[in-house]
Amino acid sequence: MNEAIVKNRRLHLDPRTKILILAVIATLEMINVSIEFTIAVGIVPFVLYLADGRISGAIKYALMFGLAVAAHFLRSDLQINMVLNMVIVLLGGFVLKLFPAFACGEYFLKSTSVSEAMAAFSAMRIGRKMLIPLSVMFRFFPTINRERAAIHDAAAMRGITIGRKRFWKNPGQAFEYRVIPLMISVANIGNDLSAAALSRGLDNPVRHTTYTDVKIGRTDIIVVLIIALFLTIVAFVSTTI
Amino acid sequence: MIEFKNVSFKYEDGGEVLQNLNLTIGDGEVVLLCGESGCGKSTIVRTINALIPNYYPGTLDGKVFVNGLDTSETELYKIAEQVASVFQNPKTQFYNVESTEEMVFGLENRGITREEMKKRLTATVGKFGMENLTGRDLFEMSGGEKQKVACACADTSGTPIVVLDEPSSNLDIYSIGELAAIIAKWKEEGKTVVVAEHRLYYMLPLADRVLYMKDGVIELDCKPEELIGLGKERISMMGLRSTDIREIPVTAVYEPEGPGDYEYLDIAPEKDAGKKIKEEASLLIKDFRYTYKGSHESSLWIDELLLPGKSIICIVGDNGAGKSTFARTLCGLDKRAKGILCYKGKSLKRKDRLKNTFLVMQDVAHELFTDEVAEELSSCIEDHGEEHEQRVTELLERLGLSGKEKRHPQSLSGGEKQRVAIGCAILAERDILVFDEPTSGLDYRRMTAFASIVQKLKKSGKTIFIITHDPELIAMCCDELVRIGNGRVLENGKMTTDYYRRWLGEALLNK
Repeated sequence: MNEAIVKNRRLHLDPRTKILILAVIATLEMINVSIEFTIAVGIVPFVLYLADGRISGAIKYALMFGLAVAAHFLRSDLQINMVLNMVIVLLGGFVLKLFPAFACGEYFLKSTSVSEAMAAFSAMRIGRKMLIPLSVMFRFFPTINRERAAIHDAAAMRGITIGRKRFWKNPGQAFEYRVIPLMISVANIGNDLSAAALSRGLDNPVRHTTYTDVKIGRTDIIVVLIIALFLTIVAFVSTTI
Repeated sequence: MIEFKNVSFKYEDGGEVLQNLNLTIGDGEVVLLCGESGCGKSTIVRTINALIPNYYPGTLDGKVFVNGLDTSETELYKIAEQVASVFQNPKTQFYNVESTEEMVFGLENRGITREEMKKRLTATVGKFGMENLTGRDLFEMSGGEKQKVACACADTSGTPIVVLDEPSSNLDIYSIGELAAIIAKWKEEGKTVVVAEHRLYYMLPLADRVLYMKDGVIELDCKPEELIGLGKERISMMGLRSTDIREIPVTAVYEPEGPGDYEYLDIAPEKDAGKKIKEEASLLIKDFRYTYKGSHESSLWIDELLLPGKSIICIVGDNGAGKSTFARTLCGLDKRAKGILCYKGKSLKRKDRLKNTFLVMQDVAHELFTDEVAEELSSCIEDHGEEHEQRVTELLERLGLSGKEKRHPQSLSGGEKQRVAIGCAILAERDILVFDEPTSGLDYRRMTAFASIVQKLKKSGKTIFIITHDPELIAMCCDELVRIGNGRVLENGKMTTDYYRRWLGEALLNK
């Protein structure tokens, strides 16, 4: 079952709220306030995952982020090879600075239905020129996953999956083998999808109506306030102490 | 009314597909467009819903009028208010993830009020009896269910014209019956319906008119009875599929190769059946089980199934009966699947099966990885010997692919891609080939070509499994028919005319 349509989610936010959170997190994680602040920013998507009932997603994210935090604190204590040290610091920094935004983006895509997103975007007065590609993007993520699974099967049959001897003979090529059919099938699907959407009047300039209702409610305001309060306190406390 | 006036069309990257076409389709007519692949029937559908010339690039001469609107001068969304479309591939015609949202998508685009949407949705859902298909994840639906949703989308849009482009390609026999019932409702309501189709049998009783196309020209414009009146032989010559699937003669003849090739062996009830099979040429499936994550009930459950080796085994069952799970289990593709395949005196576990079987997928493009046909084939050879280039060249010739060594595999036609995949299986020295819906959407000529290829493979000692909905293919080449339902084997046995008729009769009634 796709998460996007599970009706009884624990927390249901308006797509616009999610976009705001995404934008705020993406901006804040780039600002160097303190390591505590960076961690606080990283906690937000973790909580969102949990609130959406995606426990395994939350755990995976927490593990990655936790490792990066650990690497940050241990980097000067460990006496290891210089190059390895550099790689760890770089990777850790990458996770610390970028993963929270990626995770918020993933949360947004997975927890929002196409119709909801379209309704929200048009309420935000985003022009039709932007709206169509944005909605195609929404439709695409689940599709890509399906295609990838089919291609994985094909690769397994040919013995070019990770863990097989043939893969390691030429890993670069094996990677290419996986990407080419995926790109081609995704491009074809994109073509067919656009044709189908156009044949159903997607380009109609009339203001589109929506079957699903989108409304910024009390929950949205409370969630935004909690996040703002939490991050402000952490920023304030960690810099003054 | 749909009018074509001196219409010619040429795709940007290909030849001319419509040549000086003049055609009038009156209001309320149900028209069946037939002809071999590439004859231009899909192009006609695309000119009616105005994706030609507005979306597919090419040169359109002449004029097409849809209810008085000139399609080349009208915005697409205005045509969309006149014409609704149902496409061939259920995978790529949905814009939403949830079925209810999909059914109102066309209405949202037109700015129709929520109350009106609800009204239309209720009417459509009631009319087609599809209450169980609302609020569902489209990705989790079977092909038949998806195509029903696509028809519901066309219905809620309330257009006077509906066009369908090979809508039955991915459907089982029962779902085709449901599709026919939907088209019959539209006919009753006085809609104009244009269907481009290979499968004639379900459309002929519904159609008011049949258009047979060849090389971009309408060669025959007649009543369905007149087409049937031409006789079976003539119809096959025209490259058309059977007009009545119940009447297809079962022509497959199993030719035993060597003694005792097709004999059920006495199997002692003991567990280690692998040893008990003395005969090389049999396959024994033992304890195939598959249970979805979080589910208590197995969606595949086969305790024991003995099948003749070196033969063509067709697996049939409704959409969602477990055929694909069976294929994935047989090929060892799913780690969750359990079971053993005893073959040539060996017991093959999952990982062994990965090396002994080859699945030719329905979407063959998924298994073509390289950028050249010759490279594709040579990459399938596990141990590169000295003469491997020669083997590739020889095989290309045998598969009718000579001269295409340097082509990009993805640029080949569907049938050619399929043959490249078959070549791969041969070079990888796999004994068991599994085909998933190899002939869906193929015309008569291409289907018979496929049947002759698998017969050659059988002669060369391969065991062929074909998962299919295609009764004509089954009648033509099946040796052993296995019926699967609800993940269990309902029946299996040697193919005979009686068996074929009984299966078909029950499949039509969804028993």
